[in-house]
Amino acid sequence: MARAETAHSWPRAVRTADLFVWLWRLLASAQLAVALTGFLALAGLLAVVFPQIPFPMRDSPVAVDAWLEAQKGKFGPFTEPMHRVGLFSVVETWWLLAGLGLLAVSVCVYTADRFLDIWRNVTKPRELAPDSFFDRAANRLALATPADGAAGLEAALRQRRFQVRSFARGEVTYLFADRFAWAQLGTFVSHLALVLFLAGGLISQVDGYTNALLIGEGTASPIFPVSHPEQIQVEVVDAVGTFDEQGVPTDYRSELVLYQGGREVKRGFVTVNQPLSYDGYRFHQAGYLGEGAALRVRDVASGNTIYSEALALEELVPAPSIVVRDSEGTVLLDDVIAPTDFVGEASGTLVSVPGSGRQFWVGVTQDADEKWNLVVYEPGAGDARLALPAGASRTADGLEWTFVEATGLPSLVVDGLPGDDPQSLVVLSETPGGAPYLTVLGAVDARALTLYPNQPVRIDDKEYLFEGRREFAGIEVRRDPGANFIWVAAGLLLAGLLMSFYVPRLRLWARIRSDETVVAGPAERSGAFQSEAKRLMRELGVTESEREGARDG
Amino acid sequence: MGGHVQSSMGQDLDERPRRRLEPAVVLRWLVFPAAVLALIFGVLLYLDGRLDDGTADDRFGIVELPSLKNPTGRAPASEIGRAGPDFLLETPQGGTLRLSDFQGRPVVLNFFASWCRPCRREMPEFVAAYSRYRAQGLVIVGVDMQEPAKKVLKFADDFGIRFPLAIDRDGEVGDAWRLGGPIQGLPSTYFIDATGVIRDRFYGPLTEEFLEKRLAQILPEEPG
Repeated sequence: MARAETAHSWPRAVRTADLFVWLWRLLASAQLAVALTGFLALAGLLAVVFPQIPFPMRDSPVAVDAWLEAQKGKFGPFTEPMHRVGLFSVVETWWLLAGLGLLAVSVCVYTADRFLDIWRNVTKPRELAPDSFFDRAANRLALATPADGAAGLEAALRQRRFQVRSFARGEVTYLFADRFAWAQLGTFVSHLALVLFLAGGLISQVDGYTNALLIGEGTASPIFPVSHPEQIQVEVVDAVGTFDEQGVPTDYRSELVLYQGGREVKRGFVTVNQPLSYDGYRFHQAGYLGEGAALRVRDVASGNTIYSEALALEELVPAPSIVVRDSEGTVLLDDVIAPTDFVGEASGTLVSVPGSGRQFWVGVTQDADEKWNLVVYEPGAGDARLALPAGASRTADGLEWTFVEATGLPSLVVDGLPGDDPQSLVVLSETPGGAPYLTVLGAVDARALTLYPNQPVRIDDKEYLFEGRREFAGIEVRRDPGANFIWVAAGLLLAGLLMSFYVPRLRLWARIRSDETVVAGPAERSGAFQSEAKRLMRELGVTESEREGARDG
Repeated sequence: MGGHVQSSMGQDLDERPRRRLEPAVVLRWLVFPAAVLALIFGVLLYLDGRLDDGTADDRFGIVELPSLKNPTGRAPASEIGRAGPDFLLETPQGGTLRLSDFQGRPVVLNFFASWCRPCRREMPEFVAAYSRYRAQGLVIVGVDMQEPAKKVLKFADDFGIRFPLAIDRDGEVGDAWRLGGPIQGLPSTYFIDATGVIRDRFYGPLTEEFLEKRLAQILPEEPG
């Protein structure tokens, strides 16, 4: 029984070893590496040719479905099968990752398989070649022995940067000449670069971190979830956006302070192209919002703050830009009217027209074609209304009204602002003189609260204070641990390619007899041997031996 | 003629590397390239700054709750009916604060941060509650998550906070108390009775009504 088991297990062990050797040979083969490289190049081509699902959408099945629906117009019934095999998200497919992994393994095996032999070949070359090699070598050249014999050839080789060793065997002298032997290692340098490229990408994928924050001046934000042991808080001290005359942004710049463990650990300025780095994290300026406001509410009795926020006014409320002139054409009012209430579908406010002694309710409304119209009526003057489209002017009761355009004022619906309503609308506007002011709707029932910078307004037991404009910086936090790998890999790849293709390495053996010298080289078809041999002949002033010419292997 | 030439001694002069078929021999030579790769990876990771140690002070964080202060007989945990994990933390004024020192009085433990909008929203409710129930022995302990002391002091000054504050610099205490439950978040509030047992907890901003309801579980009943 026991013998039978042994008899069965031995062939199985042999088969396992054979399988391992077969697998090793497969992974070490240059053909597999070329095939994998071609496969990855094809995958890259597919990712370029076919549209790819935008990254922010990929976590949302609903968004992906909507995106695929849009692609059906182009790919028809093939859309779903193409999605299933990953043609719309090539970089995330298992087959691409498997190909990359296999290539990395193949490169490692290839390197391990050949390294020792090549290392020996570089450090311990066979220096004395047998006569049969000079007779049959693939690359050989027979030439007339120079006048000064082996010494002349040796000197010429040294001049050509070869390291030369000489061996005398009776009447015959043998030379071994080697130039830039170390360049053979270039292929390993390139392979190491490839492994580092793949490792860098993998590490970035697994251990990379990205987070986008919108932080107001004077406020801070954590970059990780609460109680993360490496928590870093980013404070924006100052956010600046500069714009040209056409309003096109020319630069965004912010001063940041980083805190970790309750201590300031770094301070500096960031721009779009100059991040602040700390502990492997890079803080980039990724955006800017100029329309923000700091609003504080205090309890009058205690003096305690009961509300304090820097509000990013990211929304817009429609507001009419109007010009009002008197009968002589004098401009009485030229302003953007911030809305404080609604009349029917129109949002607007009560406006006093300077110099006229009259008040009008001025607002905007959208018609069925989604075009904005100015609505003006004078309280107490019956149902008379003035309505005009953007760009139009009309005179009524001695005043000429011009509706320049419907513009948008920065605003935000705010929860929890102390007051009568749970929700308030905060609108930031400017006086004709350019001074900012804040309109708060909802905090005080049936009244719009207008706040000017640093001028507190007391309503009952609360004091409302607009502390001023606040700019917001969009900060992108990134940690890319694979970046160092990529940089080193790029350098190594360049070095490896230079070593392999631009360093003129060559190894020669020579046999010098009194009547004939044979120079032989290893089997290679680059032509390096032929050109080097011809150059040597020129320098030595000899010609090919008449008995036997050069032959290519 | 081929390029593969054998010498009289049978040695190969072809530069092309020869294949070694024995797996054991090949495996030996994996060690060297693996070591080179490991060295390079190590250097790169070191340069990446991942090996930096933190700035936390080892004195502060979770500490052992004395058995005499644990009436449940079970290990402390941030669960209702259990004794809460004890901690020793630095106060923004530079002193120390230990949770179990308040045993004998009802405690509201609130985790917050000045950057946290809901925390700012609920803080006036705690300030008011402390003012109302301080005479009944109520203690509110505010634990700021990982912020500098000067920011905590400014926050306390702005909102008129008079109750004790502490700073969890490395997040260890917050982690032990499992802030926000599985979703992790601020604010998180725990209601601890005078025996040190957690009676209730709340994730998110508390309103006055919600706060009163929970305080009733830990405050001593008024006489009469």
